[in-house]
Amino acid sequence: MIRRLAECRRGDRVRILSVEAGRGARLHLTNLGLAVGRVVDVVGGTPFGGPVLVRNGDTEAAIGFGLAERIVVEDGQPAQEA
Amino acid sequence: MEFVLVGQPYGGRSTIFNEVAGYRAGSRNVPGVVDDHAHGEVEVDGERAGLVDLPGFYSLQLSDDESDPAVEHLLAAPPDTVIVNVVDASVLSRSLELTLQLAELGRPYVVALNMTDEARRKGIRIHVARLSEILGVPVVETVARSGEGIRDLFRAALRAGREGRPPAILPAPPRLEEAIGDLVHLIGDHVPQGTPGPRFLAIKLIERDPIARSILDPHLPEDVWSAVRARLVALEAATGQATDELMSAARHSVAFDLFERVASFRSRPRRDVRERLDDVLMHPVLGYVFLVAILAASFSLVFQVGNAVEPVVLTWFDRLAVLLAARLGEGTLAYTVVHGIVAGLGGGVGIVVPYLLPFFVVLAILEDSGYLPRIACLLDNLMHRIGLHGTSVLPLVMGYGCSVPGILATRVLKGRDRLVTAALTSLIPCSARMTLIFGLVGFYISFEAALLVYGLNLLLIAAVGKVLSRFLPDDSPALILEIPRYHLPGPVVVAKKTWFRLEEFIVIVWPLLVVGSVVLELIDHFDLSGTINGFLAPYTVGLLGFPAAVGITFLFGVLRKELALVLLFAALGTTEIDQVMTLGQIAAYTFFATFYLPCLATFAALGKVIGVRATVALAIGTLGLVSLLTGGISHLFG
Repeated sequence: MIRRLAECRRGDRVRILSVEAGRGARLHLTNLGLAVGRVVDVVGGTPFGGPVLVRNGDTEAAIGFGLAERIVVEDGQPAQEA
Repeated sequence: MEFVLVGQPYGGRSTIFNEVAGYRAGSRNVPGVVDDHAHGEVEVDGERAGLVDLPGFYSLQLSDDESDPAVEHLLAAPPDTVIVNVVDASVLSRSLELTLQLAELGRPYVVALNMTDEARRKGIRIHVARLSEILGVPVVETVARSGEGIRDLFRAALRAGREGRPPAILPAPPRLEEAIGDLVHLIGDHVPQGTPGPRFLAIKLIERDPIARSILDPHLPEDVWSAVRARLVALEAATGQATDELMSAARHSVAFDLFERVASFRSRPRRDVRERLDDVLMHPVLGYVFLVAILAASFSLVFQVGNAVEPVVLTWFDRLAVLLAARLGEGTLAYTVVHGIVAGLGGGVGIVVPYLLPFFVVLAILEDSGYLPRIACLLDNLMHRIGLHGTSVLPLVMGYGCSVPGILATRVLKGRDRLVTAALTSLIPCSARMTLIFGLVGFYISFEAALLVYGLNLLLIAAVGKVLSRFLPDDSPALILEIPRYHLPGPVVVAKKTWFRLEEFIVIVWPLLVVGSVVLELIDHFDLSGTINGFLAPYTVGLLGFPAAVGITFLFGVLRKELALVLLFAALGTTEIDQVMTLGQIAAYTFFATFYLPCLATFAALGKVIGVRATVALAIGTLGLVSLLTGGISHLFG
């Protein structure tokens, strides 16, 4: 199922399909292991439009709700990475 | 020779720096938040070398036209510089992506494989010799928190600097490597001296990094530029992917392959309590309960320690003053000067240290534990209400310690966010202003009243933030923040951080306090204060509603905020302020002295970060707003 990262719930494992944001935000996401094609676990979120917490391997990151709405994901099992 | 500590945030650079360099480095558990570069010296086997701790960054790639001072410092470092790449062994795969970029610089470096205890706990075994062989540089295992391996690390760095052997190049996938080769061939003859080599610049061109253009532009003829552009377009056409994404994907897979070659998983990772901690501390509801509880507990601890110590120390200094008066004879010039020195010293010891010390300890614990970024995450939502993001919380919270590092920390933000956050940070009551609030309102009125000042301050900040956001539309990227592992704050690390911050106070601020106090005594001795206060009276008495005698304290309050408090006692000739000012006046005075203008050091920091013009506009705006509000408070309650 294709949806936005902002719509995901704690416990979801998703693959990032695209990031509809500028170079700066994409670069920053890439630095934290959140590039297109990677699989991440949603580990939490705060209510009422707070950030979404995701984990990629060893790195945990908070992504602002607005940006999470611009990240397209699909259900994903890890294909190339542990 | 100079060693430069380079690494991703939370990797332990500053802890290593603090371990070896006898000078200050803020090892803040916050990305990009080290007050500029910390400089120090290290002695290795009898040889002294410089040591620089650069703020942490994830990648050498610059995100847009804005410069990153840490990356620029690294690119411009002199040839005898040895890079010490501090790597968090427990997140090795990701950390190696930066290591690979450092290798592209083609200069000697060593890898500090830090936090190996953490990696072991996760069941990861790293084959150090193999990693060292593949990278072509020394790799030393360290545990910075306990000092393990640090000596060996700097020995290896010294050797690497002497030998000057370039590191190994780990090739990118063939198609990319081909493009790099072609670009090196194109630009090779034009690369200026004293810059990183052609391979590094070729990669930067592929990454569409503005740094490549800024280095190459003055040296590359137009026909070479078009050939470069054509080659990049060809690469994009052949792969169907943006070249910068191609490069970072390639680096990711090279780093991951390397990780798999050097790491093996020996056992299942042992879970510990830290992984459960966020179930509570980042819980959608409980998280906020704990946030309020933690902050309230911290501040009340600070207040209680201060409240217990302050009167005791003040009594000692009062006795000393009486003793001196008997010895030197009251009214003599010698007495005036000595009395000023004693009052300044007393101000430092009795008022500031009892507040600063516990505050810095609390701040160090919050930072070192990894809780600060979590505060940012929890408050992101709230910050949106005033038009900012959670990342702005970090400078604001740091601002409670000292405005200067708080404002410098806003440099991780861009454009409008930086401007608004810096402006708001300058309005946060720093620890110096805290001494004013607790020393006056807290002491003469009540602890609750002092907390009320903080509450009103938050409302003021929210209002100003709202207004500024209205005028400056949001153009910034959203919050993207690493949430680091929790650490049990080590007593040594906390003690060192606290000491480094206190040291700055003792060396820089305390002498200023003493000088300011002596000058004030001299003004008093020669009866100049009447003239100065008279000159200020229409403003201080007429508009603000204070006794004329306090006018002089505002002149010195700009120097250092604590001075206003110390000098208030001197100007009024008593430490029992409530005898000469009404409680309403004390409250209004506290509000005004706290916020009318930031101190000189804060001005300097603001000028650096948001520019002189914005700083002046901010100062005038603040002074006007605060004057009106103060006048209101005095006339209502005075």
